[in-house]
Amino acid sequence: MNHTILSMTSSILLACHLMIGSTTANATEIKERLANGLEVSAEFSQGQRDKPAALILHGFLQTQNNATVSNLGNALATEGLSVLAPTLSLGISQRRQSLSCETPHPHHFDADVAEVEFWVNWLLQRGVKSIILIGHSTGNVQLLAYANQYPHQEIKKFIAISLIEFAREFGGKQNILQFRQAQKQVKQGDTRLNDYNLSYCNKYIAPADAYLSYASWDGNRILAGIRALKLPIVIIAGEADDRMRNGWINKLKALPVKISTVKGANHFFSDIHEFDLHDRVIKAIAE
Amino acid sequence: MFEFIRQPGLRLSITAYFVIVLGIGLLLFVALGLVVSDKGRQLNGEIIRMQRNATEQELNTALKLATDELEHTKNFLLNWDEVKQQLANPNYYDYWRDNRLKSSAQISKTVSGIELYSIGKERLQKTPKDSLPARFDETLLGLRAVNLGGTMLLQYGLAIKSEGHDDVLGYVVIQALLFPALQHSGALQTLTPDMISYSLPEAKIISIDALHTYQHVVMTDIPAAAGLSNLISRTLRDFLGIAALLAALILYLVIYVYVRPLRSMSVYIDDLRQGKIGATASARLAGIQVKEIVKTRQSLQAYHQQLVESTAVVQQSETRLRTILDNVPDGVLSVDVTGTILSCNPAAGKLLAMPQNELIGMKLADLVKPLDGQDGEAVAIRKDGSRFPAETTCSAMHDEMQAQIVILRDITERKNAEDKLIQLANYDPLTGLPNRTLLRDRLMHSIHYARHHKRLVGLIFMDLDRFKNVNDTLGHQYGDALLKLIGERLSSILRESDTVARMGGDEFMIIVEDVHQQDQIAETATRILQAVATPVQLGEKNVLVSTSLGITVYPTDGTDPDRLIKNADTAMYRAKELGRNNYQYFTEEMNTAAMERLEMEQELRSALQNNEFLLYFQPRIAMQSNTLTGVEALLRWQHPHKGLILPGRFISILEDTALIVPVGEWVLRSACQQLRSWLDNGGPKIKMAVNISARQFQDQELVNMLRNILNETGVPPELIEIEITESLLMDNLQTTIQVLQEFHRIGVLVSVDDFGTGYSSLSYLLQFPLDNIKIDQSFIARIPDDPSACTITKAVIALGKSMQLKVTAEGIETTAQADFVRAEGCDEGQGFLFARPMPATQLQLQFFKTPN
Repeated sequence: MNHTILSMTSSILLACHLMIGSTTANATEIKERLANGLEVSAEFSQGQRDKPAALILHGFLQTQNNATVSNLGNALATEGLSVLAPTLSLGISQRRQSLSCETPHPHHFDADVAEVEFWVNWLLQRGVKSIILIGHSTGNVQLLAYANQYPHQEIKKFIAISLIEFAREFGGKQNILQFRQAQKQVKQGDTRLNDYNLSYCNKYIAPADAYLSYASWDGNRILAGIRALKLPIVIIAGEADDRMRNGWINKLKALPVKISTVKGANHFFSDIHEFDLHDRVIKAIAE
Repeated sequence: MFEFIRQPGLRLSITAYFVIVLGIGLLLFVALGLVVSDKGRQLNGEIIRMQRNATEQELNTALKLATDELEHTKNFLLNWDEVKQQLANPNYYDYWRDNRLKSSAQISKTVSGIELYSIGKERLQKTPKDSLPARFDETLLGLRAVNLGGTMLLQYGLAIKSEGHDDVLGYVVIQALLFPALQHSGALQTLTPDMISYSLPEAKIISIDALHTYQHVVMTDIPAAAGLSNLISRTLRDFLGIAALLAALILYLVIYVYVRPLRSMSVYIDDLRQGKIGATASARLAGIQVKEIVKTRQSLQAYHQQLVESTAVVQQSETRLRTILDNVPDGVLSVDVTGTILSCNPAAGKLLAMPQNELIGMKLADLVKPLDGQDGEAVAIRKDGSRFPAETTCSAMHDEMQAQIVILRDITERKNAEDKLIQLANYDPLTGLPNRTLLRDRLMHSIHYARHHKRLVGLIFMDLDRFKNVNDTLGHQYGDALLKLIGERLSSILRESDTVARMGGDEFMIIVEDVHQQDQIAETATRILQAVATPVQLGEKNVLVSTSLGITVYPTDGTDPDRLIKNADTAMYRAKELGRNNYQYFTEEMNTAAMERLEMEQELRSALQNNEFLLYFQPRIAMQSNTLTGVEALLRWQHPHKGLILPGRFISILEDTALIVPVGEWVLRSACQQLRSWLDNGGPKIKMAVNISARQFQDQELVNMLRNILNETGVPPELIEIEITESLLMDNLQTTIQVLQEFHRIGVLVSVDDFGTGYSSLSYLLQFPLDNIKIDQSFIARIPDDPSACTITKAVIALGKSMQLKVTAEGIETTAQADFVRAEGCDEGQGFLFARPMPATQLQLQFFKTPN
C-alpha cells in the first residue's frame, strides 16, 4: 500500500483520556492527516482496557454520523468498549458530509481499505490488544477486503451488519455492458467522467477506473472473500431489508458462517430494531 | 323684467334665489381655484422629496439584501465538501462546475459567476467566458464593488482553507451584476435602472461599505404637478368671463320660459278647482309651447277627468253597498265611541221591532246585552220587551269619529238546535231522564262536592226483576210504558238534589247527594223498592214488578265514578242472587266473589272444548219391586285444578252466559250415547232422565236438537225423560206448552222436577202433556216427623195418580221415608238410600246383571 501511515497530530484531549484510562463513554473527534495530505477524522470513545476495541465503518458515501453507525457506537461505548468510528475521506480533506451520487467520484476502493489500515494502526499504537471489526452495508466490503489483505493478530472478529454487494443488480444486462465498457476505457487510458449504476446510485459520476475499483466487488467476490477469511465472522441481517435482493441472503446463508436475522428490521435497523441490533452485536462480541 | 321677484306670500321669487345661488357658486369656485393652485405647488415639492427618500431607502435595502445573499453563498461554498474535492482534484472541475454547482439550490440567484482558483491563484477553468479575473489577487479578498467598462459588479473573493488549519486549499470568487443583483434581492419595487446614476470612476475598486456614496437617485420635478397652478389660474380667469355671460342668459330663460307660465298654471289650477275649465288662464296656457308646461297642463286635465270618473264610480259603489245593506238579514249598525247608534240598516229595525229612525240616537247597550263568558253572544231586546238570543260582531271603521260597525244576528234557531243536541247527548229519549253520560258527569260533580264538604255520596244501581217477561208477554210498547212510569215514580220520590238516570234497558241509577249518614241511602233504597212494587196498570193488565238494588257509597267503596258504578253493579247482582226485590250494600267480598265468578266463567268457556265435563248417573228404583227403572243424568265438571265440581256451583253461570245451550246439548247427547252403549251391550231397558234448563227452552233449536240426537244415537224416544222445573212451566206458559207438545210428538217423556216448590196452577198442569212428577226432596227430607210435609207428599202422590202421572220421590235417604212413599203408592224413588250419583261403569257393575 502506498499510503504510509503516519500520525501527524492527535488531540491533546485524547492523550489525556488515554493516560487516565477513562471509562466514560464520551466521544472525542480525532483529526489526522494522511501521508497524501488528506485530513481524515473519526469519533473515538475510550473504553475499559480489558475490553476489546470496536472499529465501526459506515456504508457507501456516508460518514460516521450515519445514525446506524453512531447509535451502535454509543451503545458499545456504554458497554465499556473502546469505539473508533472513522469517516472515509473519499478523496476529500475533512469530509463531513455524505456525498451525492452526482458529484465526481475519482476515489478508489483501495484507498478506502488503506484508510481502514490507518485507523487500525492508530488503535494499535494506543496499546489496544483486541479489535472487533464492525461494518455497515458496503462498509463491510471494505472491511472484508481489509481483513484478508492485512491479517493483524489483534483483529479477533468481524461482525457484518446488512452486508450487501457493491454492484447493484449485478448480472443485469445493462450493468454487464457498463462494466465491460469501463474495462475498455481503462485499457484505452480514458479518464473522462461517465454515468454508472453503482450500489444505490442510479447516476454515479466517476472515471472508469474509479468505478471499476468498487464495481468489481460483486457477490461472488464477496462470497469468496468470506470463505477465505481467517477470522470468525457473524452476519446480522434485517429480514425486511429491501436491498438484499436476488436471493443474496440465501447465498450468505449457504456459507459456513453464523447469520443472525432480525425480524421486521430494514437495512438501517430503524426504530425499535435498533435495540435488537445492539443486542445482537453485543452478544456476537461476547461469544 | 323683475316684476315677478316679489310675489305675494313669497319672500323671494325663484329668480332672486337663482341670482343669489349663482353668485355664491362663482365666489366659491374662485376661492377653490386659488387654494388648489397653491396646494399644487406645495404638493409637487413634497412628492419629489418623499420619492427621493423612499427610493434611496429602497436602494440601500436592496443592496443589503444582495450582499447578504452573496455572504450566504460564500458560507455555503466554504462548507461544501465538494468544493474542497475540486480544489484537490481539478481534473473534473468542468463537470462539477457545469452540473453540481449550477444545480445546487444553495447558490443564490443573485450570483452571476463563481470561479475557483488553485493554491497558486490560477483560475481552474481553462477557457474563461465571463468577466471574472484570470488570477486571484489580494484586492479580490472580501466584498467590493467594481466599475468595469460601465458595468457595475459586486465581487466576493476568499481563501478556502482546510478545517481547523490555516492551510489554504484554494480560492473562490463570487460575482454579481449590481443592478440585476439588486433586483434579485426582491426589495426593488419602483426603482428603474435609469433612476440610478453612479459616480464611480471606471475600473475603480471600492469597498462595499462606501458604495452608497457613489450611487445617486435621479429625481426630476413632476411637470404635471408644477404646471397645475398655472393651469388652474388661467382656467379660472376664462371661466369667470364665460360664467357671467351664461348666468345672464340663464336668468332670462328662467324668467321668460318658466316663471311666467308657472303663474298662468297657478291660475289655471284655481279655475279647475272652481270647475271653470277653459277660462282665461287656460287660454293663456294654450299659447305657451314650453314642453314641461304643456305636459303638466295635459296631466292636470287628465287628472281632473279621472277625478270626475272616480266620483261617479264611488257613487255607484255606494249605491250597491246601500242595496246590500238594505237586504242583508243581519242587522248592521254603526255606533260612535259612546255607544250611540249613528245609522242602521232595515234588518236591524226589523230584528229589534223598531223603525230605523227610532233606533238612531239610542244606546246600543240598552238594546243588546252581552252574555258573560260567551264570546260574541248576547241577548237582544225588542221594542215590546221580548228577548231573543243574538250574535254580535264588532269591527272598527278607523274614521275620525272612531265609529264601530256592529253586526247583529238572530241565533234563536241555532240555539234551539244546540239545546236539542245537548238533550240528545245527555238524556234518555224514552224517559227524559239523564243518560249514562250525564250521570257520570253529575256523579263526578257530586264526588267533588262531597270531598270538599266531607259528605257521603250514595250510588244505587237498580235493575227491574224479570222485566224481560213484561216485554215478552205484553210487548215492547208496554215495556217502554213501564220504564217511563218507573222513571216518573223514581223522580217523584227523590229529593231535587238527587239524580235518577236510565243506563239502558231496565237499568237505572240513582245518585243520592249530600249524605251525612249511610242510613239515608238505605231509606232512599227502601222508598225505591216500595215505589216500584206498587202495581202498575199497563193497558188492561195490572202488572206487579219488583227491583233489585245495589248500593255503593263514596268514599268507602270507591273514589272515582267508574269504580263506584262497577261496584254498585256488583252489589245489585248480589241482590238478584239473594232472591231479588231487595237492596245490598257493596262489600269487598262481593268483588272477590264476582272475580271468582268471572274466573269460573272464563274457565267454563274452555271446559267443553277440553272435555272437562262428565256425567254421573243416579238410579231411580221402582218402589214396589225395588228394581232399577231408570237413571237421572247429572252433570259434573272435572276441573283440572279444583277437582270434581258439583253443578250447584256453576249451573247458574252457564245459564247467565248462555253456555247452558251447548253444554245442555252435550249432556243430552252424552246421556243418549251412554244409554245406547248400555243397550248395545245387553244392558236393561231403563229410562234416561235429562234436565233441561229454562234458558234451553228459549232456544228455538231445542226440539230439532233433540230430534237429531235421537236419530244419531238410535235411542228409543220412550226411554228418554226430559226433566223440567215447575217454575219453568209457569214462567212462560205459551212457549212451554208448544215445546212440550213437540216433545210429546217425538215420543219422549216429560217429567216435572222439584214439584211442590212452585205455584203451579192445576188448570195449567192439566194442559201440559206430562208423564211424571218428581216430589221435591225438601218434603221427603222432613218425612215422617213433619206432618205438613207428610200431608203435602201424600197430596202430590194422590194428585199424580188422579192425573194418571207417574210419581217419583226425590232425596230418599232413610228406610222410613221409603216406606212412607211406598205406602202412599209412589211409583219410583231416588236418593242416597238406594244409590248416590255414580259414573257409568260403577253403575254397570252395581246394577246391571252380568252376562253370566
